[in-house]
Amino acid sequence: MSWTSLLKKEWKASSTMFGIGLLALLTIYLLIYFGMGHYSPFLLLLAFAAIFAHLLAVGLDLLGSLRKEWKENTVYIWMNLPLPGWQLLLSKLLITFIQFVVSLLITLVFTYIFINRAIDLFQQRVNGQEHAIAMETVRSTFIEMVPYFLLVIPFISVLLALGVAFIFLMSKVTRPFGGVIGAVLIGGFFYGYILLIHTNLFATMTHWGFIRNFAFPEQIMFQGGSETAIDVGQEILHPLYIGQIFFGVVVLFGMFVLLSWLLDRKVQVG
Amino acid sequence: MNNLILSLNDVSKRFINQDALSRVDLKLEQPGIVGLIGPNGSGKSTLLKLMAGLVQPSAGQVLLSDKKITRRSGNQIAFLAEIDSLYSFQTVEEAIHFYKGTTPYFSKEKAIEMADILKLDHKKKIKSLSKGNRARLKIVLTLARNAPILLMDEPLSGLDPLVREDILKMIVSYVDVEKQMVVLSTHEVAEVEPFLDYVIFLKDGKILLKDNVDSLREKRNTSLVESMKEVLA
Repeated sequence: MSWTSLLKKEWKASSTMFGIGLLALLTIYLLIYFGMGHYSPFLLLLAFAAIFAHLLAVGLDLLGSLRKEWKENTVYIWMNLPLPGWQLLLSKLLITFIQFVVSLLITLVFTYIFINRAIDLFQQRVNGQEHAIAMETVRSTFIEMVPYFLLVIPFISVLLALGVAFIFLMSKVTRPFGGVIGAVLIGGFFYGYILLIHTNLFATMTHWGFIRNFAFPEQIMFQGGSETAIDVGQEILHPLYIGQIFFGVVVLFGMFVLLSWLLDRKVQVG
Repeated sequence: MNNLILSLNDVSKRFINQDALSRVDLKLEQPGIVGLIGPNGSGKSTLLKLMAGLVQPSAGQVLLSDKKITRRSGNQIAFLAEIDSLYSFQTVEEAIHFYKGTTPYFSKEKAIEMADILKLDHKKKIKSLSKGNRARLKIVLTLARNAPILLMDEPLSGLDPLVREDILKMIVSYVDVEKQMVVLSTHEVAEVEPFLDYVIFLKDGKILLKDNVDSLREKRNTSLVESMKEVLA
């Protein structure tokens, strides 16, 4: 037995929706591109919103995939497959993640294109030189932040996805309050996690194996309307350590093992 | 290999507002064809899902040769759901490949042979198959798994006589009655009576009678249909 069959099935189950979503994304980005010339260069901010919307992307897709098994009654096949729970879940997560990465990369590329277009558009304006210079800082900041985005957004997105999957599976473990219990447990876990990362203990545990510093402004303020302005804040350093990545991977792994155990031992078809 | 024994020890299953099964004790041993008979809502589906590890008992134990049954028992227990439960985006051929890749002992050759006998178009998408052909495909995929235990939830329900005949024909022809155990739930007793070795009558979540079909006929001197009417009345 091989779980490539599962991967193929998951890809086929989601590829149509993924294709439609990609087409919609490209259409929206083309509209933004042309809209920047017609209306305002600040429409590029929608691309930043799209980058951050990716935080929820894996969770929503994974939830959709799990819900579909139950909604279309294919759960009777899916759960009767003797493959271990981790394979069933990982195949869904992997396909969702690949689609997420494609979407995120397209969004990052378009964001870069939009920033360059905004610089061009500001340079063409009579009083736009100041904005063009500020946008150049935004561009260099964006380039600096791309590796950071590529590390942090997938991590948070997968973490949230595992949380959502936990709530969903809990709702199938015990009714009618399994989902609520799951939400409370996962809410408590995330709250504790946020508290932990601000402690000295966390720093002690994770600040080893220095990789590099990311230097970017504390904030970039865009002001639209008749008096447009771009304020770039003071630059601060964000160090990245192997220990932080290792800790993140351990957390994801732990949550994944828990979900696999739940699926194998506790989850019910209906 | 020793015969597998499927046992339920004092098993109850409660859903939100109702008891689906109440204190069921049962021991089934390979091989043979077991009929699980009872009216709608008697707990047949729940009992089969418990045997497949697809739902968990509220109390008691469900064991396969002394090991707790979980959904991972799917390597020995194949479950056929009453409802339409195929991946509609797959073609018949893709469904066969999918099962081949995900279940042990699955015989692709057997599946293709059965699909050909039942005149299923291999290239056709499942979503464009008729209800009867989807039911035929379900039985093909389940039987080709060659699992020691096959659990079939109402395989004949809601189907026209021709499809029912095809399905029974497949079960009779492709189940290895010397090795496999089939537990099928139904309320169409007359149709399955000739094939059954063992029968369980279920009503309101309780087992009212379980016996070997031949000895039941001898003891009661009636057909299974008549026995069912008496027991479930």
